[in-house]
Amino acid sequence: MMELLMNYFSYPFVRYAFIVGVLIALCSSLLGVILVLKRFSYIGDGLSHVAFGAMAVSMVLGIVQQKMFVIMPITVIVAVLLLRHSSDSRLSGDSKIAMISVGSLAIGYLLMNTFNTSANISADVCTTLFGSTSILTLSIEEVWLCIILSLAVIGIFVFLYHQIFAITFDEDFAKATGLKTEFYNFLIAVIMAVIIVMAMNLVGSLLISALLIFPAISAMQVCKSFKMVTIVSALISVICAVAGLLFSILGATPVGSTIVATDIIAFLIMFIYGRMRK
Amino acid sequence: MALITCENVSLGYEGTAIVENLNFTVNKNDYLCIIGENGSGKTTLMKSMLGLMKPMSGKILFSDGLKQNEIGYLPQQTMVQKDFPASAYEVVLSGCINHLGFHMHYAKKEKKKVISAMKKLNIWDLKDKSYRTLSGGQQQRVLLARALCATETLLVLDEPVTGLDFETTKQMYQLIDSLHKSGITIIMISHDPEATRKYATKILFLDHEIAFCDADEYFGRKS
Amino acid sequence: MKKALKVMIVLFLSLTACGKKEEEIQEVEEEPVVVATPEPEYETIENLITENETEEDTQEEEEPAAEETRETAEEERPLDLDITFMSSTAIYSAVYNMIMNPEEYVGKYIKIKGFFAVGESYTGEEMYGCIIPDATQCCVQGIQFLWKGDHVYPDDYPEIGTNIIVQGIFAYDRVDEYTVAVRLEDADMFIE
Repeated sequence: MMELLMNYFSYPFVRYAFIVGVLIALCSSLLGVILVLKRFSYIGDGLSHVAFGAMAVSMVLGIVQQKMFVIMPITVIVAVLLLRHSSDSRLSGDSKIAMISVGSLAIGYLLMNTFNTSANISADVCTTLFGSTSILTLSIEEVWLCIILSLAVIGIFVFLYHQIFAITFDEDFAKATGLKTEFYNFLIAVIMAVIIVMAMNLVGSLLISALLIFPAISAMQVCKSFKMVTIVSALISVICAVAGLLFSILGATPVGSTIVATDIIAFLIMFIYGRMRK
Repeated sequence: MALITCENVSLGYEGTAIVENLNFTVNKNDYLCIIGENGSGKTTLMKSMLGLMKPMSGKILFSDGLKQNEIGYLPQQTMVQKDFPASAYEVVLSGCINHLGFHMHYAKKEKKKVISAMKKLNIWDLKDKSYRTLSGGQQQRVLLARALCATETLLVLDEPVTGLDFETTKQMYQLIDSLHKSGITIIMISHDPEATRKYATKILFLDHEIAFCDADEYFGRKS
Repeated sequence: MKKALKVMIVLFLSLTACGKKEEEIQEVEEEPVVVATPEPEYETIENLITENETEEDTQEEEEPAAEETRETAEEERPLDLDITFMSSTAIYSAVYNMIMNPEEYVGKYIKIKGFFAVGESYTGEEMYGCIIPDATQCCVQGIQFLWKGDHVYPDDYPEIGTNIIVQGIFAYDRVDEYTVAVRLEDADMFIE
């Protein structure tokens, strides 16, 4: 077994997959805690569809190996615009987000079929929506982009941990005591878009929500403090990503759904453990 | 000594004014109760004083060294907050955010404030408990402690006893009163006529006619 | 399944230049190859397996096995790359990466496994390839192979869809600015 693994790891694309996968899982879990608590999960889901649409645009323009450089800006802009309105009343932006979400998905698929720029449409759709092998087929630029962005996101979380906590727990109070909440909401919107685009490579855009939400919710079943929730969420996410990647590579299953499956198992374990402790 | 002065303040949404030409002053050591029907503008006024909203017209002035970001705010709780996974200590600590600046960690001074606030309100033994497992009354005390961390001068409370049972309500008012007696100015939105009558030193009544006066005057008491 | 594969292969391989056996095997260059192609278009369905875009910059690849001279293909020559141990998820990705960065693999002695398939190039010649699907079977990669020695189709070749293992020297030709034909030359083929 060890030898088999060593053999796999002698290949750069396998090493890249694990490095990028771990970093993406780490970032997603941190963001996921905030999204769940701010009740922004549906925005995350909507943005993942926008990213899909943006990818279709990128394909149509013929940009394949550097597609992240197209998808990222588009998604960031949409994220910022969406979040600006939702901070006032969480539900009024609901239908707006639904429209953009489903619209992007539909138009994206339409574009890809109309312009016929892809050799195998269903393959691209399949791999982008479900992440069957995308993490294993990143170009070197994409790998570096992911590494740099992940480290930046993690750095932001570490340095602005208390501010982010204050904004998440009580935005009004934070604003009243002088915190620049508009800036932090903007920052969160940008980070959300960045992470979603990167996570699309790991689990596909349909499954991103799971990657974001499950580790956070799993941690919340058991942990008492916000600090523990954050740490445990990150741990769960990374362990599940590594386990899922290993299993899918060794067991010939699609990467995205395997990782999500391990996340679900982790959730069930934490859920039961949490109930037992009461 | 005046702390907050409202000069000709009008408050409203999208061009429609709810309150017009509001003029009053909150002095140090006042216990001001803002009362009135729902929708009369009480929360809007409070939010304007805190800088969460801009008044439609008029000015809100701060004096005697009071800074707008050094007001302790106890807002009404949202459903999300009631279920928030954080320890009581973490929640109270977040009250010091206005002194964090660009540092990554809170200073010892801030942490001492947290300890003293929580001890004052008798919740120090709850510090490691998860906020969402606390009772309504305990949560309110945690939030009150948080508000205390943000200020040494003025507490602004939005209906602090909503949803609390009779005993807990009584305890809450007693706590607030003891804070007042220790030198903190109180501004409170209240729907509780009895408590208002018992504790307030000033009344602001928001309705078609605005009344601002001494509590004694309002309740027809002889001093 | 097999019929669908054959149809796909015909499409995929139809533009491969079959008659380029005589072309020199390109040497692997030490520095990354900068290929002067404009922004590549994504493959059309006909080109997926054998023709692919190349990038402006290529990534660094390391070899798992000992390096040897690559002037001629030798029977006793050790493999540079053996991906037969991989699951379909990984093998598919490995082949994809090979096709996206062919310069990195030129001249390497590679061993792959997959299904046997037959197709036709645009020159009209018959071509034989090894097809590798991914885990969900919705994506497919493949590489043409030139079986060394004298072999006649269909007598010497296995049935279409048979699991085969192929080892040969990686080579590619640039068909046009966007497409690349990829194959294993001097190959040995075994039925699994």
